[in-house]
Amino acid sequence: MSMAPFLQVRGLSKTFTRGAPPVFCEVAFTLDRGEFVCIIGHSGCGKTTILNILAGLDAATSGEVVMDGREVAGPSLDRGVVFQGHALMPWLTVRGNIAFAVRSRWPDWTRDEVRAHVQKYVDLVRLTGNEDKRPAALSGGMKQRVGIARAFAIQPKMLLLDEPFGALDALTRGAIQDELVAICAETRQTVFMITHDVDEALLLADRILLMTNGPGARIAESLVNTLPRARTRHDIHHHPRYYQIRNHVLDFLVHRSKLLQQGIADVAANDSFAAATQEETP
Amino acid sequence: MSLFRNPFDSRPGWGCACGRHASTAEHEAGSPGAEELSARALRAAALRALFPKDAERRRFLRAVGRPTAMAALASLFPFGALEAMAQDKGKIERKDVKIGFIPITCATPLIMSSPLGFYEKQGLNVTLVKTAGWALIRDKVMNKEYDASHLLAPMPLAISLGVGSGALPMNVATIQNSNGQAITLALKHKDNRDPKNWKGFKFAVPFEFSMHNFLLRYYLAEHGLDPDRDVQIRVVPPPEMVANLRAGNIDGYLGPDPFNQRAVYDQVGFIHLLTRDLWDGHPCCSFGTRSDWVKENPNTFAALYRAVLNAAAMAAGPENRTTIAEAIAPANYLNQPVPVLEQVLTGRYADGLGNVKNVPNRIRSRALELARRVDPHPDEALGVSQGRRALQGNRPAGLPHDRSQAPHEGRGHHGARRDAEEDRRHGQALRRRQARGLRRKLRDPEERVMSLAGKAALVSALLLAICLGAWHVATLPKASADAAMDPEYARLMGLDKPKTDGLPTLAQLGAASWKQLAHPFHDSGSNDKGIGIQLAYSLGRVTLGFALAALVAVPLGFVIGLSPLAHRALNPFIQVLKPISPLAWMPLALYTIKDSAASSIFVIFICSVWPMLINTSHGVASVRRDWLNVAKTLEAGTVRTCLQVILPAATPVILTGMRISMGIAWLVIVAAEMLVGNLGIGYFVWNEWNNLSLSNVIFAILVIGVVGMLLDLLFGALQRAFAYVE
Repeated sequence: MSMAPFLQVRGLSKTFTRGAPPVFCEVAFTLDRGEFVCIIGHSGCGKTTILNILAGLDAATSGEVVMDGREVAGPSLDRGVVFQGHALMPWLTVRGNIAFAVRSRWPDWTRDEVRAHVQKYVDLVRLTGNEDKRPAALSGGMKQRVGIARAFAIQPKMLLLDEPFGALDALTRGAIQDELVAICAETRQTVFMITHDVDEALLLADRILLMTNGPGARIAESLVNTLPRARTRHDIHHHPRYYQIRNHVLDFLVHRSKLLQQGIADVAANDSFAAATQEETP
Repeated sequence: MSLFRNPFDSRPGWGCACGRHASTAEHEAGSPGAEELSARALRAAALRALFPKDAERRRFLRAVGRPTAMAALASLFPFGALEAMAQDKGKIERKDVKIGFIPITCATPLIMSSPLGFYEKQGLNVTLVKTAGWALIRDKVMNKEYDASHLLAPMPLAISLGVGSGALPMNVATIQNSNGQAITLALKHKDNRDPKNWKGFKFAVPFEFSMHNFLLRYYLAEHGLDPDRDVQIRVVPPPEMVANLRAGNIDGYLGPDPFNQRAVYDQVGFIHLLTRDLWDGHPCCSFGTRSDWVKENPNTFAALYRAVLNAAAMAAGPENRTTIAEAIAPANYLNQPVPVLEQVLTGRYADGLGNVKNVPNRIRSRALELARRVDPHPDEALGVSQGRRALQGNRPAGLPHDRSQAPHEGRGHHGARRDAEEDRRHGQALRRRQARGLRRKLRDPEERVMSLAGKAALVSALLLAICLGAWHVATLPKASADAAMDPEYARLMGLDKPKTDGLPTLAQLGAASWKQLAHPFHDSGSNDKGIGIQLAYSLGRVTLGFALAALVAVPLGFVIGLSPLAHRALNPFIQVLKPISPLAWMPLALYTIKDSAASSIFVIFICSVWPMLINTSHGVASVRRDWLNVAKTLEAGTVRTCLQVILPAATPVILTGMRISMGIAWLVIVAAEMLVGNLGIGYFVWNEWNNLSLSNVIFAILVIGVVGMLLDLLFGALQRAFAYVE
C-alpha cells in the first residue's frame, strides 16, 4: 500500500458504563477505496457499535477514524447507512423515502431532478412500479431494497450495511445478495458490512474481519477472500477453496473466538491454513 | 310604604288612588307622567330620610306647610341636579347597554321595558342577559360585562363594601320590588303545617345574605326551631328550586316567585305562606350598577332610569296586566307558562292544596303598585275578573301545547295499533333480511361480515324499540284528578289540559324536537336562540379553547419530548395540574380574566391542554431511534428533522391526545356553560331544566351526544388519515 488507505481505524475502544470492561478495545483496520469488507463476530462483540462510530452516530471512548484524510466526527452524507431494520419512514411512499435522502444531498434540485434521480435508484433495486406504495404494503425484501436504494441514492463515498438481510428469509436474501453483488460491481462502491452469515460474507466480501467475543473484543484476523470475483450463489460453493475458507471462518466462530477472548489461544497459533492469505492484526 | 306615595301630603289617607289629587274625580282627569313621578320620588326619599316616622312627618308638614317644607328640603338636597338627571334628555353616551337579570318576577319592570319598547324610546339598545345565579351576577357586574343589573337588595351594599368580593362602589337606581316571596313546601308535608314539627327539614334559600334567608330563619326561630341546628338551610339558585323539590332533595324553600307558583303548577309543592305575612313590604331586589359607570355615562344612566319609570307609568293601567304577563313570559325572559305569572302578578292563585286564594299585594313591584294606586277600586284591579279575562281572552303564549296529544281513551287504542303496525313491520324487515342473507350466503358462503353487521343492526334496533316502548308505557298519562275539583282551581293549576307528570311522552319529545329542529337558527332575543345558534356558540368556544391548547401543547410537548431536562423539570407541574377538574379553575378564571366567555374558553383550554401535552411529549420521545438516525446520517437539520421526521412520526399519538382532549372539552363545555354561559348548549340544558321543560332537556342531551359522537368521528377520521403501519 503505497498511499494512505481510504479508511483508517486506529485504537478504537468503547466503554458503555464507567468502570466496566470495554465492549471492544484496540480495534484497528483499514479499508481501500472500492473494497467490500465484511465483519463477522458473535452477538455482543460490538459490531454494530463500530459501524455506528464509522457512521458518526456514536462516539468511541478512545481511538480515531479517518476517512479520505478527514477525521469522522459526526454523521455525514459521505457515508450512507443501511439499517438492520430497514428504518423506512412508514408515512412516506417508496419514492418519498428515497426523495427525502436525495433532497438532503442536493437541496437545490428541482422537483423533477429529484424525481428522475429517485426513479433511477428505484429501477436499480428493481422496484419499478412500486414507487407510490408505502412500506407497509411491501414485503420484507422489498423494504430492504428501498433501504439500499436510499443509501445508494445519495452516492456516498462509503456504504455501511448493518446486517441488512438478517430479517429476510433465505430465498429473498439470496435474490437481494445477487443484486447487491451486481450493484457493487457496477458502482465500485466502498462497503463495510456486518453479517452473521458466513456464506454471505464469502459471496460478497473482498475481505472478512473476524472478531473475538466481547467484552474486550478485538479483531483477531483479517481474512482476504481469495475466491475470484464474479461470484454467484449458484456456483460459488463449487470453487475448490470455498469450503476451506468457510471452515476456517466457522472454526473461528465456534472455537477460537471464545478462546482468544479468554487469552487461551495464541493469536499467532494458526492451523495449517495456507490456501487463504492471512494477515495478523498488529 | 312607597316612594310614589306623596309624602308631602299631610292627610293620613288619600284623596285618590295616586295620592296626588284631592279626589278620585280630579285624579281621573290626568295621571302623572314619568318625569313628575321621578321628581316626586326623589323628594319623597329625602323627606322620608329626614322623618322616618309617618306621624312625625305629617306633624311637620302640618306645622310648616307643604311649600315651606319643599323649600327647606331643597336647600339641603341638590334636587335640581337629581331631577335633571332624571329628566334632562342629554346626549346618550352609549346606545348599547347590557343588563343582567335572574328570571324571577322581581325583575318585571326591568324586563318588561325591553319587549314593550321603553328602552328603545329612550334611545337605548338594551340587551337583557339571563344569568345563572347571584354570585355570577356579582362577578359579571364587577367584571364590567354587565353595564347594569338586577341585584338582590343587599348586594350593592355588599359589593361596595367588598364583602365576599373585591370592593367596587355601586349605585342603586331603584328598589325593584317588595314582598313577592313565599315558603313553598313539598306536597308530602301538606298535613304538617306546624313549623314546630319541622325538625330535620331541609330548606333552600337563593343566597346566603338575602332577605329570604333572614325571613326563613326568623320564621323558624319564632316557632321554636333553631335554624342552625334543627333544620338544614342550603343555597340553591331560584330556578333550580322546583327541580330540587321534585327530586326530594329539599323539603321546602323560601324563594322568589314565579318558582313558588311554578311548584304548585307542577304539582310538586304547595304555598305554605307568603312572605308578606311575615313582613309586609320587605325589600327584595334592586336595580343598580357600578358608580364609575354612572359617572362615565350619566345621560345613559338617566335614560335607563327614565325607561324603567316609564314602564312603571305604563303599568298603571290594569288593562295592561295581560300585556305584562305575556311580555315577560317568553323564553327570552322568564320562560314560564303565562298562567303561572298571571297568578303571581294578580295575587289570585292556586295554593296547591285545592284552594284559590286572593292576596292582591302578593308582590308589590313599583309597576304593580302604581297599577293599584291608579285604579279606583284597588282590589278589583287585581281581582278575578282581570285574571279571568286575561286567561280566557288570550291563548297563553308560554303554555306547552301538545297538538299530538289525543284524548285518553283514544290514545291506548291508537298506541296498540301503532305497536301492532310496528311489530308487523319489524317482522317483515326481519324476514326480508333473512331472505337477503340466505341469498347472499348462496352467492357467497364466505361473506360473514355483512351478516354480522346486519345482526348487530337488528339487535340495536330491538334495543331501541324496547327502550322507546318502556318509555312510552312509563309516560302514559294517568287518569286525571277527582272530578270534584273547583274548576277555577283546575284551570289555575293548568289541569284543564292534559298534562303528564315527570318525563314527557314520546310524542311530546318528538314535538319539542321538531320545534327545535324546524328553526335551528331562530333568534328571538338574547336569551332565546335556536339550537343551531346555541351549538355554534358551544362549538366556537370549544374550537377556540382547543386551538389555543394545541398551540401551546404541541410545541411544549415537542420540547418536553426532545429534552430529558425539560421533561424532568416540567413533569412535577404537569402531574399536579393535570388532575385538577377544569371547572375548579372557573372562579379563578372569572376573577382574573373578568370575562365569562373568555373564562369558559380558558376552562376548555386548560382541560384540553394536558392530554395533548402528554401525548405529544410521549409521541416525540418515542419516535423510533432508527428514523432519527436516518435523519442524522442524511445531515437533515433540526427544523427539517422536527417537521419531516418527528412530527409525522408522532402525529398519530398527538392525534390520539387531541381526540381525548376533544372528548373532555365537549364534556366540560356543557358544565362550564351551565355555570357561566348565557348562550351555548350547556346553558340551554340548564335553562330548560330550570323551566322544567324535560322534552327540551332530553332533546338537548341527544344533540350533545350526537355532536360529541361526530366530533369523535372527525378525530377518528383524522387519526386514520395520519396513521401508519410500521
